Amino acid sequence: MSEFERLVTELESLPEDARESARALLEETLALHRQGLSRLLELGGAALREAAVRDALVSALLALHDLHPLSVEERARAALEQVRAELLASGASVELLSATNGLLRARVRGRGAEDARGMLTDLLWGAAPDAAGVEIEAIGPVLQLRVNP
Amino acid sequence: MNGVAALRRFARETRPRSSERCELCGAPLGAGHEHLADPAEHALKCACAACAVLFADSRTRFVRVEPRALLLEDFVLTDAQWELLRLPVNLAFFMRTGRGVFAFYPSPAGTADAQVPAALWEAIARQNDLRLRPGLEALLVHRMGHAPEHYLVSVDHCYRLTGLLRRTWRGFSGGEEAYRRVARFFDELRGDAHA
Repeated sequence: MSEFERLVTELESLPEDARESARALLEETLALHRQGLSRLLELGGAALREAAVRDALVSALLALHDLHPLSVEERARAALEQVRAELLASGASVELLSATNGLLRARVRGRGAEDARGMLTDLLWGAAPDAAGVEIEAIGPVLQLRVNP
Repeated sequence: MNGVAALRRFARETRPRSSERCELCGAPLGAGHEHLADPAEHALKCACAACAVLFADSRTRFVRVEPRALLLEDFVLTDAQWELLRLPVNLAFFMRTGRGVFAFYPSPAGTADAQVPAALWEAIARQNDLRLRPGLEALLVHRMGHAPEHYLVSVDHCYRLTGLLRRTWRGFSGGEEAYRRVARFFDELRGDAHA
Protein backbone atom coordinates (compact mmCIF):
# COMPACT_ATOMS: atom_id res chain seq x y z
CA MET A 1 0.00 0.00 0.00
CA SER A 2 2.74 2.45 0.89
CA GLU A 3 4.14 2.01 -2.63
CA PHE A 4 1.01 3.82 -3.84
CA GLU A 5 1.74 6.75 -1.57
CA ARG A 6 5.33 6.93 -2.73
CA LEU A 7 4.33 6.93 -6.38
CA VAL A 8 1.58 9.48 -5.85
CA THR A 9 4.05 11.78 -4.12
CA GLU A 10 6.45 11.28 -7.03
CA LEU A 11 3.74 12.05 -9.62
CA GLU A 12 2.63 15.12 -7.74
CA SER A 13 6.10 16.58 -7.98
CA LEU A 14 6.09 16.31 -11.81
CA PRO A 15 5.48 19.34 -14.06
CA GLU A 16 1.80 20.03 -14.55
CA ASP A 17 1.48 18.56 -18.09
CA ALA A 18 2.95 15.24 -17.09
CA ARG A 19 0.97 15.17 -13.88
CA GLU A 20 -2.28 15.83 -15.72
CA SER A 21 -1.58 13.05 -18.23
CA ALA A 22 -0.93 10.63 -15.40
CA ARG A 23 -4.07 11.76 -13.64
CA ALA A 24 -6.19 11.42 -16.81
CA LEU A 25 -4.88 7.90 -17.42
CA LEU A 26 -5.61 6.96 -13.82
CA GLU A 27 -9.11 8.42 -14.00
CA GLU A 28 -9.91 6.47 -17.16
CA THR A 29 -8.58 3.28 -15.67
CA LEU A 30 -10.51 3.77 -12.45
CA ALA A 31 -13.69 4.51 -14.40
CA LEU A 32 -13.31 1.28 -16.37
CA HIS A 33 -12.71 -0.74 -13.19
CA ARG A 34 -15.62 0.94 -11.49
CA GLN A 35 -18.00 -0.09 -14.25
CA GLY A 36 -16.71 -3.65 -14.16
CA LEU A 37 -16.89 -3.91 -10.37
CA SER A 38 -20.32 -2.41 -10.32
CA ARG A 39 -21.52 -4.99 -12.84
CA LEU A 40 -19.86 -7.75 -10.82
CA LEU A 41 -21.72 -6.70 -7.67
CA GLU A 42 -25.02 -6.79 -9.55
CA LEU A 43 -24.30 -10.22 -10.97
CA GLY A 44 -23.20 -11.66 -7.62
CA GLY A 45 -26.17 -10.38 -5.63
CA ALA A 46 -26.44 -10.04 -1.85
CA ALA A 47 -24.21 -12.99 -1.06
CA LEU A 48 -21.28 -11.51 -2.96
CA ARG A 49 -21.78 -8.07 -1.40
CA GLU A 50 -21.74 -9.52 2.13
CA ALA A 51 -18.63 -11.57 1.45
CA ALA A 52 -16.94 -8.59 -0.21
CA VAL A 53 -17.50 -6.37 2.81
CA ARG A 54 -15.81 -8.90 5.10
CA ASP A 55 -12.68 -9.07 2.97
CA ALA A 56 -10.34 -6.19 3.81
CA LEU A 57 -8.74 -6.01 0.36
CA VAL A 58 -12.00 -6.17 -1.60
CA SER A 59 -13.54 -3.74 0.86
CA ALA A 60 -10.75 -1.22 0.19
CA LEU A 61 -11.16 -1.71 -3.55
CA LEU A 62 -14.89 -0.97 -3.34
CA ALA A 63 -14.18 2.13 -1.27
CA LEU A 64 -11.69 3.32 -3.87
CA HIS A 65 -14.49 3.27 -6.44
CA ASP A 66 -17.25 4.67 -4.23
CA LEU A 67 -19.02 1.34 -4.46
CA HIS A 68 -18.87 0.25 -0.84
CA PRO A 69 -22.30 -0.83 0.42
CA LEU A 70 -21.58 0.42 3.95
CA SER A 71 -21.20 4.12 4.72
CA VAL A 72 -17.90 5.64 5.88
CA GLU A 73 -19.45 6.06 9.33
CA GLU A 74 -20.62 2.44 9.57
CA ARG A 75 -17.20 1.16 8.61
CA ALA A 76 -15.47 3.50 11.06
CA ARG A 77 -17.72 2.32 13.90
CA ALA A 78 -17.11 -1.32 13.06
CA ALA A 79 -13.34 -0.77 12.93
CA LEU A 80 -13.30 0.99 16.31
CA GLU A 81 -15.36 -1.83 17.84
CA GLN A 82 -12.61 -4.24 16.89
CA VAL A 83 -9.98 -2.43 18.96
CA ARG A 84 -12.19 -1.18 21.79
CA ALA A 85 -11.55 -4.13 24.12
CA GLU A 86 -7.81 -4.06 23.55
CA LEU A 87 -7.65 -0.32 24.26
CA LEU A 88 -9.79 -0.68 27.38
CA ALA A 89 -7.43 -3.34 28.67
CA SER A 90 -4.58 -0.86 28.40
CA GLY A 91 -6.60 1.87 30.09
CA ALA A 92 -7.91 3.93 27.16
CA SER A 93 -11.35 4.45 25.70
CA VAL A 94 -12.21 5.43 22.15
CA GLU A 95 -15.31 6.97 20.63
CA LEU A 96 -16.35 8.19 17.22
CA LEU A 97 -17.32 11.85 17.61
CA SER A 98 -18.67 12.53 14.16
CA ALA A 99 -18.54 11.54 10.52
CA THR A 100 -19.97 14.69 8.97
CA ASN A 101 -19.24 15.03 5.24
CA GLY A 102 -17.00 11.99 5.46
CA LEU A 103 -14.61 13.62 7.93
CA LEU A 104 -14.02 11.05 10.65
CA ARG A 105 -13.30 12.45 14.08
CA ALA A 106 -12.58 10.17 16.97
CA ARG A 107 -11.38 10.72 20.49
CA VAL A 108 -9.13 8.46 22.48
CA ARG A 109 -8.87 9.17 26.14
CA GLY A 110 -6.78 7.70 28.93
CA ARG A 111 -3.44 6.04 29.36
CA GLY A 112 -1.36 5.78 26.19
CA ALA A 113 -3.88 7.91 24.27
CA GLU A 114 -1.13 9.70 22.38
CA ASP A 115 0.50 6.41 21.40
CA ALA A 116 -2.82 5.01 20.19
CA ARG A 117 -3.36 7.96 17.88
CA GLY A 118 -1.20 6.63 15.03
CA MET A 119 -2.71 3.16 15.27
CA LEU A 120 -6.25 4.58 15.17
CA THR A 121 -5.43 6.86 12.24
CA ASP A 122 -4.16 3.89 10.23
CA LEU A 123 -7.12 1.80 11.32
CA LEU A 124 -9.69 4.34 10.16
CA TRP A 125 -7.93 5.13 6.88
CA GLY A 126 -7.75 1.37 6.30
CA ALA A 127 -11.46 0.88 6.93
CA ALA A 128 -12.48 4.03 5.07
CA PRO A 129 -9.93 5.18 2.49
CA ASP A 130 -12.80 7.17 0.99
CA ALA A 131 -13.07 9.33 4.12
CA ALA A 132 -12.58 13.05 3.59
CA GLY A 133 -10.16 13.08 6.50
CA VAL A 134 -9.29 11.37 9.76
CA GLU A 135 -8.72 13.28 12.95
CA ILE A 136 -7.89 11.59 16.20
CA GLU A 137 -8.03 13.65 19.33
CA ALA A 138 -5.90 12.21 22.10
CA ILE A 139 -6.66 13.33 25.61
CA GLY A 140 -3.78 12.49 27.81
CA PRO A 141 -0.56 14.29 28.65
CA VAL A 142 -0.37 15.84 25.18
CA LEU A 143 1.49 19.05 25.92
CA GLN A 144 3.92 20.15 28.49
CA LEU A 145 2.24 23.31 29.53
CA ARG A 146 4.06 25.33 32.09
CA VAL A 147 2.44 28.23 33.84
CA ASN A 148 4.26 31.51 33.64
CA PRO A 149 6.13 32.27 36.87
CA MET B 1 -3.76 8.34 4.81
CA ASN B 2 -3.04 5.01 3.19
CA GLY B 3 -2.37 3.85 -0.35
CA VAL B 4 -5.98 3.64 -1.49
CA ALA B 5 -6.77 7.01 0.04
CA ALA B 6 -3.71 8.54 -1.65
CA LEU B 7 -4.77 7.09 -5.00
CA ARG B 8 -8.29 8.48 -4.59
CA ARG B 9 -6.93 11.90 -3.69
CA PHE B 10 -4.62 11.96 -6.65
CA ALA B 11 -7.32 10.90 -9.10
CA ARG B 12 -9.53 13.65 -7.71
CA GLU B 13 -6.86 16.34 -7.59
CA THR B 14 -6.98 17.10 -3.92
CA ARG B 15 -3.71 17.05 -2.13
CA PRO B 16 -3.31 14.90 0.96
CA ARG B 17 -4.00 16.75 4.16
CA SER B 18 -1.00 15.70 6.10
CA SER B 19 2.30 14.08 5.53
CA GLU B 20 2.90 10.94 7.47
CA ARG B 21 6.47 10.58 6.39
CA CYS B 22 9.61 12.36 7.42
CA GLU B 23 9.91 15.20 4.92
CA LEU B 24 13.70 14.89 4.95
CA CYS B 25 14.39 11.17 4.64
CA GLY B 26 10.96 9.72 3.86
CA ALA B 27 10.82 7.39 6.86
CA PRO B 28 7.29 6.64 8.09
CA LEU B 29 6.24 8.77 11.05
CA GLY B 30 4.25 7.95 14.14
CA ALA B 31 1.74 10.27 15.71
CA GLY B 32 4.04 12.07 18.11
CA HIS B 33 6.76 12.94 15.61
CA GLU B 34 9.21 15.82 15.64
CA HIS B 35 9.09 19.09 13.70
CA LEU B 36 11.82 21.17 12.14
CA ALA B 37 11.15 24.82 11.54
CA ASP B 38 12.62 26.64 8.60
CA PRO B 39 12.35 30.21 9.89
CA ALA B 40 13.59 31.82 6.66
CA GLU B 41 10.93 30.09 4.58
CA HIS B 42 8.18 30.10 7.22
CA ALA B 43 7.85 26.40 6.80
CA LEU B 44 7.46 23.55 9.20
CA LYS B 45 8.57 20.07 8.28
CA CYS B 46 7.51 16.81 9.88
CA ALA B 47 10.64 14.90 10.80
CA CYS B 48 11.66 11.56 12.23
CA ALA B 49 13.67 11.57 15.46
CA ALA B 50 16.99 10.92 13.68
CA CYS B 51 16.57 13.77 11.18
CA ALA B 52 15.34 16.13 13.89
CA VAL B 53 18.60 15.66 15.78
CA LEU B 54 20.86 15.49 12.74
CA PHE B 55 19.49 18.49 10.87
CA ALA B 56 19.13 20.71 13.88
CA ASP B 57 22.66 19.98 15.07
CA SER B 58 24.40 20.61 11.80
CA ARG B 59 24.69 23.98 10.10
CA THR B 60 21.42 23.94 8.22
CA ARG B 61 18.61 26.41 8.12
CA PHE B 62 16.44 24.09 10.22
CA VAL B 63 15.70 24.52 13.89
CA ARG B 64 14.21 21.76 16.00
CA VAL B 65 10.83 22.70 17.43
CA GLU B 66 10.34 21.94 21.08
CA PRO B 67 6.59 21.75 21.56
CA ARG B 68 5.47 24.03 24.31
CA ALA B 69 2.61 26.22 25.36
CA LEU B 70 2.90 28.70 28.15
CA LEU B 71 -0.14 30.41 29.61
CA LEU B 72 0.90 34.03 30.17
CA GLU B 73 -1.30 34.79 33.14
CA ASP B 74 -0.04 38.32 33.74
CA PHE B 75 0.13 39.36 30.11
CA VAL B 76 -1.15 42.88 29.49
CA LEU B 77 -2.81 43.70 26.19
CA THR B 78 -5.43 46.36 26.73
CA ASP B 79 -8.67 46.59 24.78
CA ALA B 80 -7.40 49.87 23.36
CA GLN B 81 -4.22 48.20 22.09
CA TRP B 82 -6.26 45.34 20.66
CA GLU B 83 -8.44 47.85 18.80
CA LEU B 84 -5.33 49.50 17.38
CA LEU B 85 -4.30 46.17 15.88
CA ARG B 86 -7.46 46.42 13.75
CA LEU B 87 -8.03 42.70 13.45
CA PRO B 88 -11.51 41.65 12.29
CA VAL B 89 -11.68 38.66 14.64
CA ASN B 90 -10.87 37.95 18.28
CA LEU B 91 -8.35 35.23 17.58
CA ALA B 92 -4.85 35.72 16.25
CA PHE B 93 -1.27 34.70 16.66
CA PHE B 94 1.69 36.99 16.24
CA MET B 95 5.04 35.98 14.82
CA ARG B 96 8.27 37.80 14.22
CA THR B 97 9.54 37.46 10.65
CA GLY B 98 12.40 38.96 8.71
CA ARG B 99 10.09 41.79 7.72
CA GLY B 100 8.69 42.59 11.14
CA VAL B 101 5.92 41.21 13.29
CA PHE B 102 2.81 39.85 11.59
CA ALA B 103 -0.61 38.97 12.95
CA PHE B 104 -2.21 35.83 11.53
CA TYR B 105 -5.95 35.40 11.88
CA PRO B 106 -8.78 33.36 10.37
CA SER B 107 -10.72 34.82 7.44
CA PRO B 108 -13.20 33.50 4.87
CA ALA B 109 -10.30 32.91 2.48
CA GLY B 110 -8.06 31.01 4.90
CA THR B 111 -5.53 32.46 7.27
CA ALA B 112 -4.91 36.12 6.60
CA ASP B 113 -1.92 38.09 7.80
CA ALA B 114 -1.35 41.71 8.57
CA GLN B 115 1.80 43.52 9.53
CA VAL B 116 1.72 44.94 13.02
CA PRO B 117 2.90 48.56 13.28
CA ALA B 118 6.39 48.37 14.76
CA ALA B 119 5.80 50.98 17.46
CA LEU B 120 2.64 49.27 18.65
CA TRP B 121 4.35 45.91 18.83
CA GLU B 122 7.35 47.35 20.64
CA ALA B 123 5.03 48.83 23.26
CA ILE B 124 3.21 45.53 23.79
CA ALA B 125 6.45 43.54 23.87
CA ARG B 126 8.13 45.96 26.26
CA GLN B 127 5.32 46.09 28.78
CA ASN B 128 5.31 42.28 28.94
CA ASP B 129 9.02 41.62 28.52
CA LEU B 130 8.13 39.43 25.53
CA ARG B 131 10.82 38.27 23.12
CA LEU B 132 9.69 35.98 20.34
CA ARG B 133 12.20 33.76 18.62
CA PRO B 134 11.60 34.45 14.89
CA GLY B 135 9.82 31.64 13.09
CA LEU B 136 9.81 29.45 16.21
CA GLU B 137 7.51 31.07 18.72
CA ALA B 138 4.29 33.01 18.60
CA LEU B 139 2.06 35.00 20.87
CA LEU B 140 -1.39 33.46 20.67
CA VAL B 141 -4.30 35.66 21.70
CA HIS B 142 -7.74 34.22 22.32
CA ARG B 143 -10.55 36.70 22.99
CA MET B 144 -13.45 34.78 21.52
CA GLY B 145 -16.40 34.93 23.90
CA HIS B 146 -14.57 35.28 27.18
CA ALA B 147 -11.84 37.11 29.04
CA PRO B 148 -8.68 37.44 26.90
CA GLU B 149 -6.09 34.71 27.20
CA HIS B 150 -2.50 34.93 26.05
CA TYR B 151 -0.13 32.09 25.34
CA LEU B 152 3.45 31.79 24.27
CA VAL B 153 3.40 28.79 21.95
CA SER B 154 5.83 26.94 19.73
CA VAL B 155 5.15 27.24 16.03
CA ASP B 156 3.80 23.69 15.67
CA HIS B 157 0.73 24.71 17.68
CA CYS B 158 0.19 27.59 15.27
CA TYR B 159 0.22 25.21 12.33
CA ARG B 160 -2.19 22.91 14.13
CA LEU B 161 -4.55 25.80 14.83
CA THR B 162 -4.23 27.05 11.25
CA GLY B 163 -5.11 23.62 9.88
CA LEU B 164 -8.10 23.37 12.18
CA LEU B 165 -9.31 26.81 11.14
CA ARG B 166 -8.84 26.06 7.46
CA ARG B 167 -11.11 23.05 7.80
CA THR B 168 -13.81 24.56 9.97
CA TRP B 169 -13.87 28.36 9.65
CA ARG B 170 -16.81 29.59 7.55
CA GLY B 171 -17.48 33.17 6.53
CA PHE B 172 -16.26 36.11 8.55
CA SER B 173 -17.34 35.02 12.01
CA GLY B 174 -16.34 31.35 11.79
CA GLY B 175 -19.59 29.63 12.63
CA GLU B 176 -20.62 27.25 15.35
CA GLU B 177 -18.40 24.35 14.36
CA ALA B 178 -15.28 26.52 14.26
CA TYR B 179 -16.14 27.97 17.67
CA ARG B 180 -16.48 24.52 19.15
CA ARG B 181 -13.22 23.34 17.61
CA VAL B 182 -11.33 26.42 18.73
CA ALA B 183 -12.75 26.04 22.24
CA ARG B 184 -11.55 22.45 22.32
CA PHE B 185 -8.11 23.44 21.03
CA PHE B 186 -7.76 25.87 23.93
CA ASP B 187 -9.21 23.40 26.43
CA GLU B 188 -6.37 21.08 25.50
CA LEU B 189 -3.81 23.84 25.77
CA ARG B 190 -5.13 24.90 29.19
CA GLY B 191 -5.97 21.45 30.53
CA ASP B 192 -2.38 20.35 30.51
CA ALA B 193 -1.36 23.16 32.81
CA HIS B 194 -2.84 21.07 35.60
CA ALA B 195 -1.65 17.70 34.30
